[in-house]
Amino acid sequence: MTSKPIRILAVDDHSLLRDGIAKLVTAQPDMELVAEASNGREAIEQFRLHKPDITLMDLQMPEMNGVDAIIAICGEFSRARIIVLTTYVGDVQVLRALKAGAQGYLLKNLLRKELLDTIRLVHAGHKRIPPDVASQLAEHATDESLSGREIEVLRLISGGNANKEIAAQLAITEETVKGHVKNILAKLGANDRTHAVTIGLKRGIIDL
Amino acid sequence: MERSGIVTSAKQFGLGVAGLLVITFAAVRLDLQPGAVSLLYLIAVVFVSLRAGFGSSVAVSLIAVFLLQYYFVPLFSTAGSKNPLAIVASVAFLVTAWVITAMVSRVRKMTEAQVSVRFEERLAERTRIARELHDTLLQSFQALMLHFQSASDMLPPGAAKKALEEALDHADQAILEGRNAIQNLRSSTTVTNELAQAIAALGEELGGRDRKNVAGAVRVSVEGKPHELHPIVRDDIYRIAREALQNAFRHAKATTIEAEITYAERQLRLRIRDDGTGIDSTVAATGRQGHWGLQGMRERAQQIGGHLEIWSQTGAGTEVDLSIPGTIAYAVPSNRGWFPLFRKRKEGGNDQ
Repeated sequence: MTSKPIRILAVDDHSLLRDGIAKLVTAQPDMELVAEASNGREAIEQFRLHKPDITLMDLQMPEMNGVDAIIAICGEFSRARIIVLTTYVGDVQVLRALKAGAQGYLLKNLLRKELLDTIRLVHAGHKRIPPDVASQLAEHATDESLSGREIEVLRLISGGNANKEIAAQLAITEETVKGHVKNILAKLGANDRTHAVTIGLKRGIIDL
Repeated sequence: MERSGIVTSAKQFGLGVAGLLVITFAAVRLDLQPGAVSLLYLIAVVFVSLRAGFGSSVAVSLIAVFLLQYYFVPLFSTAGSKNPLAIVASVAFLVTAWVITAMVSRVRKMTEAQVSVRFEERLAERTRIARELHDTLLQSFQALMLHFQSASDMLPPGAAKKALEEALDHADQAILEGRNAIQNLRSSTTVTNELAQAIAALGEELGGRDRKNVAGAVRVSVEGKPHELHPIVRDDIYRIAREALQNAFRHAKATTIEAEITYAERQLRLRIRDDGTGIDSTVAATGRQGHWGLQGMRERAQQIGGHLEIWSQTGAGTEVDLSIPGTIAYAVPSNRGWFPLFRKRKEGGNDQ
């Protein structure tokens, strides 16, 4: 192990969580928290400024979300090592983050036990995905994914919109919306609209 | 058509004919003008058309026209003369009956559409609550866990540290449960859309829990072809059933419980009967505060546009009778399309 401490950037919109990470990290002799950010845009700025070894990145944040920030950072700094922090085990969300360039994935409920090990592993050049996240990925690996329009429709359904309102908001006909809803139910294997929303949230297709 | 549908149809037809006869009898006794008689007939025909099926409505209308044509019109015409207006009058009568019926059923449909808008609103409300819980409670707890962990890391090994670590493990579990509850917007217990199955499972759960030695099973019977239920209505029906079964098992100490689900075209009906100690009839009618949850059941039924009746007497068991109009209960409403001109295409929203 190098003698230089691992320099860390923590990105999360909850200051309480950033404080907690700071407490855990600063207690470690081989780690150093160099910067914090509360949304994707700040994360990019802080990354440019500090060039941290490891970035801990929340996904759901105001202004700019985590995935967009990961894409921007990895586009600019190909050697960036980013660990995603999230509450949910959603295969679609995981896939999106990994494709964007994240090396590690960490569920927030496992932070206290696995954060430090994950930071060290990813810093050493490994990838790290928790077993239940990996099995989620495997389970849906061959599923047909929703199109961009279908995701939009599903998001509007979760907001409590009827087909008519969805049609108006997307400037398409109600028949087309019905077609999308049918496809969504089929692709997700859902019984009804509510079920589709539940599955969408679970798999990270849409956010709360 | 289901047996119950035919039975209600026949009943409505019988009532319609009886109504026409009463009107005819009264008209003859009171010497009513044909205008007044046809108006009364009209009311009877519309009444039947709104409730009964197509066949009985047509039958009752024709009987009314027949009575008008061959009984009343001749009464007021001079002997032997043919009244040319009779046919015009009959047609006008039928058209008027048809228009009024169509208008009333249209208004009803619109009210039902409003109910379905409320369902969408409730779904939005649930999502909002879930989001709120996620953003505030869940996130904060997850963050606090890190703070506790760093405090624990500072402790020297020993009993205190061990106790704290154990408490943290329990807290992890609690947070995980909270997370899953937030994620499951709809009640996790009603994963099946098959009401009969859900109620049987409920019976096993409640019976098994409260009465360890007796097989606390609920006999479930289904009449008619099961329809897919609207998801939110399904949750409410399930909760009402749960309350009724809980009363039967817990308070009434019933040994036999029967649940009967009737999927009729016009309504979904759920009846739960038990042979328990029963409820005092005044309590059953008004619902005592904080007991039996009767008031809650009634309110829940009303909220989804249904109707709940409870019959009971001390020592004579209890019957809970829930009925919900088919247009509200069924995910894909069974359309009776006999007024195509007036029927607008179904509003989007609760279709699948």
